[in-house]
Amino acid sequence: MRVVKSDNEPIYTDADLIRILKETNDSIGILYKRHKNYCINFMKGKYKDHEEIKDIYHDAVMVFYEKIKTPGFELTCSIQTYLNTICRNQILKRINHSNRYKVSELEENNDNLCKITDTLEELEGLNDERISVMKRVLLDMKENSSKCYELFIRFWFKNQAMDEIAKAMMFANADSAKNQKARCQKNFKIEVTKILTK
Amino acid sequence: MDINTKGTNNDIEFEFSDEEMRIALTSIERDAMKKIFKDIDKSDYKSNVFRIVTKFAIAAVFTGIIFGSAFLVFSDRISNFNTTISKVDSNKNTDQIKRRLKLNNLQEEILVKNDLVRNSTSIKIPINELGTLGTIKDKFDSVEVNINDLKFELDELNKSLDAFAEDKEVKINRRKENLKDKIKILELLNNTYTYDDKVLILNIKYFINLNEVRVINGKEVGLAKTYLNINKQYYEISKNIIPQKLNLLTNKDLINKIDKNIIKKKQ
Repeated sequence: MRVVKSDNEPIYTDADLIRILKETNDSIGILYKRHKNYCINFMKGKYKDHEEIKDIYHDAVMVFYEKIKTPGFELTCSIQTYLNTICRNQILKRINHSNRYKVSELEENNDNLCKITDTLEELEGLNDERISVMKRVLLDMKENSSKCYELFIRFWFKNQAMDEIAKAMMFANADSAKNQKARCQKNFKIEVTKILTK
Repeated sequence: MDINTKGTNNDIEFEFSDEEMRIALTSIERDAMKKIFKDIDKSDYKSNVFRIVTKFAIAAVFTGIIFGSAFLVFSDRISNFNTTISKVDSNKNTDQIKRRLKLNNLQEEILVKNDLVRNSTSIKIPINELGTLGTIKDKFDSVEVNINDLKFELDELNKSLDAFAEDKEVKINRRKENLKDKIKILELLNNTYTYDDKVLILNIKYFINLNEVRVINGKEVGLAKTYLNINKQYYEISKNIIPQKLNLLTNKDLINKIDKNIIKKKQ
């Protein structure tokens, strides 16, 4: 397995990193930092819209993270190659919706790609176990009359705008509501991870 | 689903389908991950900026040290080099000046200046002993100067030189008029020196050059020093200022050294 070293991080093989991600549901930051520069440089040669490249890389990391949580998933190439491929697939998707770029430019030099077609949009999302845990945590939030619960319901389920939520929940402004949402999501993730790693 | 407008949640229930729950919870998870990624990008950017600024600062300090050291080591050499060149030029151009210029005009210039500056005698410099341009020697026994207001005299001197420089440029193929040429002309034609508060106009051909070895930053550096003899006394010439300044030598060892050097050259 390929070994990649980041500047201040301990050295992990691909197998180590996958094991850590599966068992602890943590270390997503390590994965992100470890492969970021290579993927970004890989995409810069293929996609002219450099503003979107970081977003595409975010999507690629999320795809990888969700895939390795899927039971029965086996990685048949290195993590770097897998991420490169996802990035390429995401770019292709964008290009197909746009007339600005040519698909043929992407088809050259495919030596560092593996044969998968995964994209974020095609994933089913979280696995059943994770969904079940998240429901439990959400229910706990509801029973504790947590403000976070109402925020989640309004934003993620009712698709209300931040302005509307800020007004209804008496936040100072939309930015305050947005910051509170970010804090709620962080705590929510921590609670879910605690349960999954028990 | 009802949401209480006052913001309390007691009457909220789970009324969403499994699919809606899956989509929403997936979105929550992904949004949380995106926030982590953005925070990492932000801290990477800050540390990159800090790294670049630090590198530039260190490079600037090193550059300053290198240039500062080079300036200290070489500044004396540069000024000596320039003066040496002007001295070489003065030897070459003296004959040219004789041929091309009307020396009567030059004499008049000197006369005018001397009239302005002549006061009581302090140092008598017999021009005959020092070697002259010939014509001046015929006219004057000595040039005596005792100046109270150095600046006034130098200004007067410069005005005369400027006028002469203009004249010279017309005669000598219109050389570039810049400060460097004016200083060269000043040295060349008038050999102006200062001693204490006096301005001396000396026509000197013979200089004594000695190399003094000094250790600077652990390296031996040769510093050329120039002396001249007036009335059997030696004066060191400080070349870093215009007009050049004369410093009377009192160090017996150095005087002996210079004597030996002259004797050696005459042999």
